[in-house]
Amino acid sequence: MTAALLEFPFWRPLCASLLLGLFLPVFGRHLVLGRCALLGLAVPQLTMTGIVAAFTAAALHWFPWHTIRDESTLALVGGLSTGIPALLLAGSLTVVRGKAEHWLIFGYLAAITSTNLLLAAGPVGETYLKDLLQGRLLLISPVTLIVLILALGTGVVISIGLRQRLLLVLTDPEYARVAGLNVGRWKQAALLLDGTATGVAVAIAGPNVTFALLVLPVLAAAPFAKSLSSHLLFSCVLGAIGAASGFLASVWSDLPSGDCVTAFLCLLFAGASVTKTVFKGRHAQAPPRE
Amino acid sequence: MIILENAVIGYETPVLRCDVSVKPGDFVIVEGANGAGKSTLLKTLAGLLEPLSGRRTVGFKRLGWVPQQDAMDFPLPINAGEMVALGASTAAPFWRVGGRQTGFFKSAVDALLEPAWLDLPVSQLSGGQRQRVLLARALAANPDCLLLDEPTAGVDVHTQSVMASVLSDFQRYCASAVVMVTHEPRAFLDVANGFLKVASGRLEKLDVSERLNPSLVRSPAR
Repeated sequence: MTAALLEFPFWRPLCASLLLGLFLPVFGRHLVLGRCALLGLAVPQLTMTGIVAAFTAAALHWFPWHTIRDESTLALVGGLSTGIPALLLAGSLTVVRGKAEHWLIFGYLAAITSTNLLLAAGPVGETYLKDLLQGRLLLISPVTLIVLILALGTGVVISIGLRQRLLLVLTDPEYARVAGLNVGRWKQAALLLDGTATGVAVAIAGPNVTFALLVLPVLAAAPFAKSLSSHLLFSCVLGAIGAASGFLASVWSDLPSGDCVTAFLCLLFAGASVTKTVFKGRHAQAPPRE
Repeated sequence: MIILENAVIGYETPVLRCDVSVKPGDFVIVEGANGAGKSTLLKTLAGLLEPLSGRRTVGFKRLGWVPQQDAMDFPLPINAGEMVALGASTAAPFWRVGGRQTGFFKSAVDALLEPAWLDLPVSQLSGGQRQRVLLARALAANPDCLLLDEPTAGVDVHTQSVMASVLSDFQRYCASAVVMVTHEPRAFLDVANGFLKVASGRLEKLDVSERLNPSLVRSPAR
């Protein structure tokens, strides 16, 4: 057993899954608290479009993209340069226009279509990008793992350090504005953190895994928590369990790692919802205490 | 102080024309029919709405806001203690986690909240308890002017009297101002020193003695 563990060749991708599962819910919580969870769906897809566009630009010898030789670096740069502006733009549209759903549907569809068209028109880095769409955790390099730790770790430290301002601005912007806070700036700070995390996560794990880890653990933990702090803890634990279990299941079954992680997170969410509903029903049926 | 000069207020179309000034030591109750523009006036005083024309000047250092309890619908669980802590945090610089209440503000928060409520999710509190949490959150930020939007809606007489006592102390001992929109002013008649009535797109200043005439006061809803 021990020998099998020591010979396990997938420690690096397992670490990456655990880190993504632990850290992404911290950022997803901002989106859910700000009542814009759908941003977590549209922005990873837009980021994926940015990554495919970066590959195409590199193939066309456009500056500066053609100077980047390594595929994973190209994906990271493409992801970050699209993820952050996409989230800032989508966030300001949500805040200012108040027509979030229309724009998110538009953004999501436009992103998927553009990704597919770009891939079909000029299949540059086709294998890499198709792996990414299925979540290519298995192929993570040591350098990429370090980038993941640094980017998400820094984002989590900043998010936790500024949590009181960020939570106040996201939960009750009217109160925050009357108290003299610059609500727009603080929301932009939250979106900047979320955009950076999304950009890095999409470049490493693909859009579906990123969306699933951003939002599903946060929603699954909500019925069981009684405070924001316990909710954060539950979300991170559920995210880590879902990501690690999904990855190990993918190794065992030889199926795409990203899809397995997403499937486990969906099961966790459904299980949490059913459990809560059953317990609620039992409490409702219980006779009143004397 | 807060001054609205020759102000025309509303969201897109004008709702109310007014000249108002709120000074330290004022306890102003704003009354009027539904849709008359009371909350619009309060939001304009708070800076949440800009006047369509005219000028708004603010001299107070920190404003406190108590919204209607229906507005408190959070997508994730938050308990009462966390909510008050978030309010208190606005009194401290952003790099310092947590804000501390001292003197009057600490005793006011203690008077409003039972210790057992602090660990309960806000969604599990009753309307009256939730209203007390909202008031405690606003006071935890050490404001020098409080703006309250229908804090007595759906609140029992006991809670109304607790709120009146806390607000009266706030106005007297901290030389602060209170502006309250309410349909149930009975519990606050002894402490209020100004009455405004919003009607027909105008703001009328009621004489205090006229307002205190029992025949003008409605009985609280049973």
